[in-house]
Amino acid sequence: MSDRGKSTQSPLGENLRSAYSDTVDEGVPAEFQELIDRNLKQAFDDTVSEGVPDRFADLIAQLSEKTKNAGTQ
Amino acid sequence: MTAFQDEVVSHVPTLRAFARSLTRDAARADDLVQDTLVKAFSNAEKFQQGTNMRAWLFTILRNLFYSDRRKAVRESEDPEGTLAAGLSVKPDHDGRLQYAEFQTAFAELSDEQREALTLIGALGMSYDEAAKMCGVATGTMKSRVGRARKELAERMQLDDAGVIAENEFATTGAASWSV
Repeated sequence: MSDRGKSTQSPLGENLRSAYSDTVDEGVPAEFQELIDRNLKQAFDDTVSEGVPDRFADLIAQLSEKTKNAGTQ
Repeated sequence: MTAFQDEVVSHVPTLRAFARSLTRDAARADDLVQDTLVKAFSNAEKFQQGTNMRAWLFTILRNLFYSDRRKAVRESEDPEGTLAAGLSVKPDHDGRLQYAEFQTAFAELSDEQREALTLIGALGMSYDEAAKMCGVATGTMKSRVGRARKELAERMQLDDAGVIAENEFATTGAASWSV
């Protein structure tokens, strides 16, 4: 949320943004949006906090090793 | 460990969650993350230090996902979605959606809608950032999110769930509800 709107935009992006600004989420009251987003966040955070299977640590170690051996370009 | 490697490791949990929202399948999601990591390391020299690594990794992941999907496309694509007609979900007394049902309704959205909702709704990304990542206009991203929320609300029948009064609902644009 904190970075909303502060990213760099092309003039084209800005035009489109204002052209569409009042069509956003038409028909979905704020209460529902909030409800939906809360559930989305929960689903997402559940996976994030699950912990990462060992296979990924192994893979990354292996990939780093390979990159090192290939030398820096 | 290099700084690059450290930073990649720190993004794995988020990559897994993003992959799962796209694939709707834990095993497939982890395979997708694995492919993403392989690709990230083989393109490591293309990553510019100090730029947004999460966005870079997400872009790799979604490109892999959508190119796989293009290969597999014809058999399964159903633009209207295989909506379970009878799905009816009421919030609990405190207004919280029932989680399992929410997951089901979410899984029935299109890939692009799930992606948009995940980036904006779950991760709190700006519309501009999400649009750039997905290679679409900001307005497209906004309407994608809007339609996705609308469909979710519809599938979960939020309108008659008593969260707000029906007449109040009607005044907020339910006329354009059924598309």
